[in-house]
Amino acid sequence: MKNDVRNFRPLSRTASRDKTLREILKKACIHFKTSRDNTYGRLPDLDERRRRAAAVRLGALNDLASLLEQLEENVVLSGGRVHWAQDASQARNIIGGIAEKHAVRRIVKGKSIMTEEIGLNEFLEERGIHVRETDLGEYIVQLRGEGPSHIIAPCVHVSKQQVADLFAKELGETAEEAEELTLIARKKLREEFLSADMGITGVNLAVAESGTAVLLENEGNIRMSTTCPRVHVAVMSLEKVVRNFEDAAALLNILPRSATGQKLSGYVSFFTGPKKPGENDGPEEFHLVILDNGRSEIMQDEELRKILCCIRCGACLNVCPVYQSIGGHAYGWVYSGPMGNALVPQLCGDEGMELPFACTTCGACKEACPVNIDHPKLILKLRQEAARKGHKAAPPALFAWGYALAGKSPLLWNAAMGTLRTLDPNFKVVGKLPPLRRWGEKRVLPGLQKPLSRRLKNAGKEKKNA
Amino acid sequence: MQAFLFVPCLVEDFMPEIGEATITVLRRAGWSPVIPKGQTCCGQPLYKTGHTDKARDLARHFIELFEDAPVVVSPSGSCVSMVRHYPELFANEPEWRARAEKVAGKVYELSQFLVDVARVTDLKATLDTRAVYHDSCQVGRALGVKTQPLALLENVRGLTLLPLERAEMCCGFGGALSMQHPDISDNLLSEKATAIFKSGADTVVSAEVSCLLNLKGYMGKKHHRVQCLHIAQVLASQEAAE
Repeated sequence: MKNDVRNFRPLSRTASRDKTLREILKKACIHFKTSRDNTYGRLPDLDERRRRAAAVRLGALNDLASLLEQLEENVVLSGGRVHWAQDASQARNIIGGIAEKHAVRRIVKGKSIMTEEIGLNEFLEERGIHVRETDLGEYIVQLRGEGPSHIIAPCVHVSKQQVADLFAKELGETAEEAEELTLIARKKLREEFLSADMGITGVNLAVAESGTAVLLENEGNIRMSTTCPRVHVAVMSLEKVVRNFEDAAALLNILPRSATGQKLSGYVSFFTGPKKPGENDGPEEFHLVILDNGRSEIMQDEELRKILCCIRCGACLNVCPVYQSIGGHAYGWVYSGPMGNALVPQLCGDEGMELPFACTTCGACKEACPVNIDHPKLILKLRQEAARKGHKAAPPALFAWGYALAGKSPLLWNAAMGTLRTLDPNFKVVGKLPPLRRWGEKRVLPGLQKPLSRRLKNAGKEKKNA
Repeated sequence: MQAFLFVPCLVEDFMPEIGEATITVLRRAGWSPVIPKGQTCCGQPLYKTGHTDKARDLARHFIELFEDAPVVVSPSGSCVSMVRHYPELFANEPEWRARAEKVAGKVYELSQFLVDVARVTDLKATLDTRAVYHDSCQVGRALGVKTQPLALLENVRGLTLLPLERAEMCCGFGGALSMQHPDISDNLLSEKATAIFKSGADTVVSAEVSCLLNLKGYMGKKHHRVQCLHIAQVLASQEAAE
């Protein structure tokens, strides 16, 4: 089955039957949760920090146009170049153009969801450019010929043994322990860094007041990708901007704690323009690609735009029961779990409309979100859109009409229930129909009982008689 | 004092014993339950599947039934949560919005009502059992009712409360999800059931009717002896005393 948001139903059905996957995901999510509870969960002023971080994100959205102008101005002042891309195709062409201008043959990449969103790797490879992912998790999924299955842990769905087998097959070298496997990857990646002409990264947040792109990582691969090659291209979606360093600090304060349970990531890099005269490190050219790809449209809805507050910590995925049941690939695209359910239909329209329905509205995501996004609320709003449009993911309007008609009239409601109670009280027939048939495979269907109101009436009569 | 009882449709027709237990518990707490006639459904199935316009019709019906009540109590977290969301359904109808707010402000889930309004934690209940409490998402998270059920259960004679592994996880019912994505729902349900078995409990208690429907269905299918009880049934029980 092709990896595509439109295939969510079949992909998720297959994934939900994969017991090994579920075991791996459960273990990983428990690990994430435990680490997070130990740092993030122990912040004495957590609520205050969340409020502050949410205010920073909402503030940036409210002032987006002017912050982006300021960001551009300051990137240019620091010697970098800014490129605006309306959609994925424009962004690919811009980056392809930069590569062509510099006769780039080899590219190293730091983990970047944006480049996954625009399908950059395939585009560059089709042009004969060698593209190498250098984040260990991304490297593993690239070798497997797939995309990431989690926004911060790309290979969370892969077991250690699977990595060992993969390395034996693809790299001709393997080991048993994770540390040794990492060393093998490290050795291979060293060669890639030293021979690359261009480095491509994402951006965790961009500071408007100075034109600085901020990146978080734990492996040093982003440092290498941005300092070894001659050219650094950073790709960001336009909502990633913040006003100043104080605002950036409010997010950095909470992002690693929420993501991996670290007080701070192993490396936090601030990129302000290319290497200056007299400096030893850094690229000769710095390009910032700012991508819209549907976000301006999302900004139009005051409520739904709140998903753009997301800082991509992945905490909502790690607590989501549905994500843990099917993994990220089942969602058919880069975004999965609660943030995916709320974002994908807004980026892909009707094609992504199945996602908001793959949610139990349990609210674990909302509780976990460090910037107070109310995912269930956004998901319900998207369900309303689906119902209004008559999208097949929503139960049909006829059902809603009939249900409401009976619900408004107790007489009709009781007549319907009474008829069912007379004809098929234990759902022997109704239970064979599609919506209930599958439900009954794992559960005993409930039967219709003598209703509470009638029981009470009888009890009342008995009392009177006595 | 009178407490109007909001009877969820699942209780009226499928689990009336929960309704009876709720009445017993309210009386024992010193309140007189009043059951308005003409109750149907709060509209949650429509609201949750995106059919907000139709949910509004049911909300109007509910508001008309309950707006004069001094206080409204229901043995279901998700139904109470629905009523608390009524005001947002009437964003463009100020008059109805005001009426919705009035009702939303006085509707309580049973355990919250007992502890926070009636100020009772000991219902003189007796039930000899080893139990786990399933903190339903719509009770614990949606309503923020986390401590009240535990306070009530602590005072049940004979009841030992056991810890439940990954108690914060959803049981997989999720309304329409269990029918639209049954494979996902089944996974979550069997995961929850496994945790319950592992706890060694012989009773699982919840304050949410739909979770009980889900869990009870599974236990029945697997012929497991774990009984699924609503907190009202536990609090109404005076098993050993009789």
